[in-house]
Amino acid sequence: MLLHFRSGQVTRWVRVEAQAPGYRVVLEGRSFDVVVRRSDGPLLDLLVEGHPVEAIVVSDGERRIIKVGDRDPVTILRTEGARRATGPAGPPEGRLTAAMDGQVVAVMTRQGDRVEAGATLVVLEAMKMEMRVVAPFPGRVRTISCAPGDVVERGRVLVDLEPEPSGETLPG
Amino acid sequence: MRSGLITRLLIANRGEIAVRIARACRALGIVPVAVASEADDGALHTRVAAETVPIGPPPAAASYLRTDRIIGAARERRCEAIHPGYGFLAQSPEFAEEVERAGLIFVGPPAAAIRLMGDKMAARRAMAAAGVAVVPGFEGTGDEDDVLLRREADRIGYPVLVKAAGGGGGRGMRVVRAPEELGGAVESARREALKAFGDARLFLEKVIEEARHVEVQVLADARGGCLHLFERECSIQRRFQKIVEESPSPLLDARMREDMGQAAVAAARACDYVNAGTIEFLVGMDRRFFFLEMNTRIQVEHPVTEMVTGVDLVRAQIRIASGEALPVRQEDVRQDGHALECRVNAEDPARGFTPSAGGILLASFPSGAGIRVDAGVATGDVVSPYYDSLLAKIIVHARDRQGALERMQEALGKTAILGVETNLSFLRTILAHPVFRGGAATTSFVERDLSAWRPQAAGLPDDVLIAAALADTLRPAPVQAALSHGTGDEETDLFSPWGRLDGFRTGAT
Repeated sequence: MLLHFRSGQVTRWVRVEAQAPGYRVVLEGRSFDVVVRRSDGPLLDLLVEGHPVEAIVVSDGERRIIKVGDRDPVTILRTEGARRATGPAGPPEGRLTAAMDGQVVAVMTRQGDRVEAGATLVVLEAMKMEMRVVAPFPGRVRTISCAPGDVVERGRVLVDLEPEPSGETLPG
Repeated sequence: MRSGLITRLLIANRGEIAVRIARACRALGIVPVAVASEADDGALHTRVAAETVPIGPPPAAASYLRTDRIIGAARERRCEAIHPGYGFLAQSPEFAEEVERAGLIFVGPPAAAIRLMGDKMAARRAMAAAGVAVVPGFEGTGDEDDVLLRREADRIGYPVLVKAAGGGGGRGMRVVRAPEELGGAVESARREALKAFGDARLFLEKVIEEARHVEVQVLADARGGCLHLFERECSIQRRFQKIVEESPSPLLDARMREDMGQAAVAAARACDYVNAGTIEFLVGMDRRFFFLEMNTRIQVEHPVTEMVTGVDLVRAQIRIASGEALPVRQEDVRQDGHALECRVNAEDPARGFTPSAGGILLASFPSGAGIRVDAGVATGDVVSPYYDSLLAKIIVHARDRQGALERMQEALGKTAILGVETNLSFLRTILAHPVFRGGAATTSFVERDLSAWRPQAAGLPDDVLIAAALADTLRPAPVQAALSHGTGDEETDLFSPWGRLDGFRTGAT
């Protein structure tokens, strides 16, 4: 069985083959003998080349979170190998997104407004913290896709801002 | 044993402290009744309670701060008492008064003490009158003009703090490093204070450089008994939020400990205090200590005191509220060994510690001798963006500080909270830092020594990839980590690799 995992922008593949008494795992050309000592819910006790590896593995859709031993957990994505992983492109630069999960407490602009760089467009609040979404450049507000009271997830687009040079810098 | 008057108690809070209070109720034979906003439907604190009353929509102002709904819930469920926990309504004198007007017992201090200590200017005056040293500063009527404030600031010496009478815990505060900054700071602090506390009064305090935050736990009954339960050091703070706390303080010697304990008792007596409270002090480089403020409630970090003294503070609160005498005498209170607490928060250290909400796919806590976990969440719970980010407190106890540090490092390594980002890696960095290990950290430590800290890019070690691949091979249908809610106590055991992990029931009583 061939599996692909993506971490950041790097995709890596792993082949797992049954091989008594356990598995043979090939990691990009390197081979490891693995014995499963215990598999119980999210718990996985392995012997990798004779070395014990105690892991907790949970999944949520394509997301996999793995904690090995007492180390910090690592989050990776299970991807389809054949298809190219969706690029790390992110939203275009004028689309301002929520930097944290939170609630919209105020929308300080209206569609069509001209705003200067640094102007506060939206105020988010979560867990007693306030965060301002500010215009990264002077521009015109194309669309606002949130309203006060909305609960938004990190990464959700809040405002679409069209770059437009500041009035003072326009010639003549 | 049953605490006379109280047979049913309403817990006006959520999260780990609500779970903690429910546990104390059970130990006293009292029926714990929870309240929950819509966001907390089915939350852990409701699962450990006997009953739950829904009190409204997710925002705190529409639920946990609704005095009328909370008192109504207590009446409807025939509770005799209300425990406010910390935060929310815990330090509202009006709430305490309304609870009593409704014929219920408020598990906390008299409203007059809350009101006095809530007014930071009045508190300073009361403490000075009681012979407790306050931070050098100036408090007048609170509405002095810039000219007068500037003269006072010159007298105190820069840097000075402009503080709001209604503030506390770092809110409504400005550091002023030079005279020309004072006017602007006063103006913006006034504006903020008026908006946040409805009170524009300001006062000045000298900035104590490289201060240590050392606080003393007090306990007083309604019969005139008042004692202290020694100190907690809470110098490890980030933006005035405590992160790591310990007892004893590595700074104090026996003499200072005795002096601070006596000052704390004098402070509590000066405001006719009853129930559990904390006197916060700042200790300067010259080891002189000054009253900072009094917290008229149970505190987040109360477990470290419980671990070293063996006194169950929440149980004591309830018994005192029902008219009983103090559970111990001053001369019988001992500081045994060393305790540490780490606050595990749902926040993302890689993104400036912004809150991290989401589903908890797995929560697994350490257990064993000398380890206690006070958690507000379990596997399958959801961290909503509406409330504070505290997920759990990991508390350890050992014979000495060195042993406690080691035990904590091990306990943090065994703590797994998967699905939301946490500050666990940051906590481990603090625990490993030579300044903290040497007992020399001041309140500037995190800002100065760890400002450049970023979580290590974990990379993708071979064993992690192998574990992920084996997990997906062995479980064709991905384990969704059992997102169903259990019925309470046994539920957190589901995935424990370490046997029991029902941390909120282990450890000190």
